[in-house]
Amino acid sequence: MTRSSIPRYLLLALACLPTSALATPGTLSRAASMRADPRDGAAALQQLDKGAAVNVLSRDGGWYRVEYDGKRGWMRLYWVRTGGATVARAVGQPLHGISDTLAAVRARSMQNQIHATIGLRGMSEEDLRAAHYDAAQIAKLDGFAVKAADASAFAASGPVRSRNVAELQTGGSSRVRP
Amino acid sequence: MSIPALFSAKMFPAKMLPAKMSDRRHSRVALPFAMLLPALSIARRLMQCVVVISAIACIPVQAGPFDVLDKVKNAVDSASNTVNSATNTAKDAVDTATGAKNAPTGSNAEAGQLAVKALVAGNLTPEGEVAIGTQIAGNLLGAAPLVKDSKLQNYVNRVGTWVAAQTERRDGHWRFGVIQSDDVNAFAAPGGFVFITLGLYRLLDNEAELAAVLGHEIGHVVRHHHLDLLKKSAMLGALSNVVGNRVAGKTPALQGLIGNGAEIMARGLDKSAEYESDRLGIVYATRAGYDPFAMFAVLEKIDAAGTANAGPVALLYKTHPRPEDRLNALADAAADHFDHFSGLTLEQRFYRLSKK
Repeated sequence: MTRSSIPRYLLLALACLPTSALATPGTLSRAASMRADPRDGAAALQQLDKGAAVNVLSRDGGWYRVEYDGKRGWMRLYWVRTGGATVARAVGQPLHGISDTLAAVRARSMQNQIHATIGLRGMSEEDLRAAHYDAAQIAKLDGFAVKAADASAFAASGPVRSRNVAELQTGGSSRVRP
Repeated sequence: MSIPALFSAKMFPAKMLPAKMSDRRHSRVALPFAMLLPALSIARRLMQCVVVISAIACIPVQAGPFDVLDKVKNAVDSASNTVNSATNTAKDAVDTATGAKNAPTGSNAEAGQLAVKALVAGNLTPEGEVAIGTQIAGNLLGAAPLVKDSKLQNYVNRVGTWVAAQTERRDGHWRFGVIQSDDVNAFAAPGGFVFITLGLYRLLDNEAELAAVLGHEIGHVVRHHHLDLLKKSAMLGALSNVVGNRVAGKTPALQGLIGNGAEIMARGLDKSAEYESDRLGIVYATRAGYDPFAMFAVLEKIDAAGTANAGPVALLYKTHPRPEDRLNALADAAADHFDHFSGLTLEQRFYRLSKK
């Protein structure tokens, strides 16, 4: 074994770990069904109570693949709180999944450090009330403005594309069953 | 109850209010105060008319023609003084609302002042809206300046302008900035100003999450949430002075009602405006091609970032509904709406700050 091949072996070993080893812990914010597939009409495998602790294995759009009490199934991500951790995208992309999970671990440790390490002061109501107009800062802000065409070009290089999405109305939940 | 809560019933039509008990209770309490505004205005005008009419009505019975003329003149003078007093106090309110009293000479203050007058009169132009926004943004930047990282500022402007292009105000005066504060918060000001604190930026993991945050603030601008609040504040400030003068014989402190331009950020909007901006933000970010569910991740991170009483989210908690309530309301509205939109997160090109 050459020295340079070691990281590849490690990576391979990491990719071969069972998914649950990389799972993100989640808690149900309300009672909901674990379903066989990521859709509302899919068979309900088990009814879970509010507060139930699950392992989130991956994500497919607005659905999490979760593990609870040895069983695996799907739940809408709305009802599973993970503290905002980035959950691995849909199955079939193991390496991408790992990088996402590691990003989530990093994000969490960053959240824990944030109070201790950043020396900047906070912003209180008193600070805002006592604030004075700063013309130089407005000039700086103007200098960073971007034309719509430049923003479009930047989006295209992402690449993200514009699409039609209707505005949301309140009370859409009548269409989904938790 | 906070001052913005007083305006909720008039600011937002009933159809925009979430059908939650807490909000209904909220608007029931707010309604009498909102109704008080036109009532006070009408009462003032009636009093002026009554003085004039009663003087004229007395002519044949109580006095000779010269006395009558004097009485009419006095009545008109009195009415005129009342109007002048109201105008002056309205002007004070405008000065205070735009931060003119704190601003150095040669600033945007005068333009902002004129714009608030136009706002109250109901003929605000897009340029006037920018003038008000500039005044508020200038005060906010006075409290927390831009982070000295031009790559970061440029990146946030590119993402923000792209998200704003998905709204009905594609060609607005859009300005985005990351400001030096370790608080977790974001702000918007009329005309197209959007700010995110460094503390919130550090919680983000990808471009889709940034787009979601900016989308929420863009929603406030597009729906004129702060302008509505400012208009009500300026009107209430003027009227409360008139009432204060008459009842207590002194001028109540306008500063406490309106403060400088940036203080509007500290007072917060009606809860329904925040829920509406969550719904708009997720739609704008999805229209822009991003992963819709990034908005949920951001709200969860804010939820995990601290408690309401102290720390980096204290002001955000004071001015917004609890993240848990926002998550539930957004889940309720989103339902299966985004099932067919996947979208990208673009974590690869997300501008990462150097570690402290």
